[in-house]
Amino acid sequence: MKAFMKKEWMEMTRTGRLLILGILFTIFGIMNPAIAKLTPWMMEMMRDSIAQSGLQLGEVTVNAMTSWTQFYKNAPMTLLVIVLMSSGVLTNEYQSGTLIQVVTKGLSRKKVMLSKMIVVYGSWTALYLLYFGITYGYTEYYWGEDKVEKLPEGVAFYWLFGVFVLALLLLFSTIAENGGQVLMGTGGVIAAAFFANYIPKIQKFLPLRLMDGLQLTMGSQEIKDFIPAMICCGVSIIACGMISIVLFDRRRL
Amino acid sequence: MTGLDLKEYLPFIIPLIIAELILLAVTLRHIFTHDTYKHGTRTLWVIVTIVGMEFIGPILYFLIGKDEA
Repeated sequence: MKAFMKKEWMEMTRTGRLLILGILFTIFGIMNPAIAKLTPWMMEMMRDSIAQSGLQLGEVTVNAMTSWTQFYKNAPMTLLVIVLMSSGVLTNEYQSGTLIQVVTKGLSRKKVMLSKMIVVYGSWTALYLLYFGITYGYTEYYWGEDKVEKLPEGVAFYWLFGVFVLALLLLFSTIAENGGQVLMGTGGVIAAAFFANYIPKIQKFLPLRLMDGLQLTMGSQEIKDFIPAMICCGVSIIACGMISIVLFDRRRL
Repeated sequence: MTGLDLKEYLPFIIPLIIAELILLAVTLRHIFTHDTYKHGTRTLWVIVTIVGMEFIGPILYFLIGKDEA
């Protein structure tokens, strides 16, 4: 299993996937405070056209909150990028038949699946930390005296949501034939969750709620409001993991 | 505040430019060291990468242009 992990790692670095993802997440991370910092200037530029439309623009204040609003706004982008990049994590190997060798040489399928999980969750965790770290660094630097409430909790909730999406991705990877099907399956479930979000009764159980970390930081919601969603999310991640291992065991490689 | 004080934005601009240049270089290197692509041709991908160099171009290439071999 160690050797297989090593192969995964080599693949990630040698194909440049890790580097590309790292750079992208860095860019996203820098963009958040940069946009926040640019906001007053953009408002200034648009003042005339806004004034013509009859609106009066007051003084725009930018603080750490503006930067964190951007953080949550762009977080789905980062998740999208990692989902797109990981969509072939298993299907590419089915297509090229590379897993057959590994399995016939005696590595159990469970271990193959576990390594894939470690790689996918691990890269999401590391890259998300990078994204968060950069935004945090800049925000501290520019608006350091501005304290933000309950930031780590909100950020961690979003991370959990990311893990959930990736768990779905891995689950679909065990049944799909190609990366497109994986994306369709994962996207389908998320879309279904968005529709389900309109039903007030189940709203608070949906993992989608975990995307609302901003509300927590703004103080309009409490941590306890997130607990049902958190439990549901955790249970589904574990369930997805177990189902994936079972399905992968039966799959023809 | 009317003008844009460039100095204030340097902490953003420099790392952004570096990151984007690395991304551009990696993508171009990949394009030129591979002869076959899943979709499109070399010329197409070079243009897409340079035009969309912020990050859209390279992402597109690695998603739909890169051959898995």
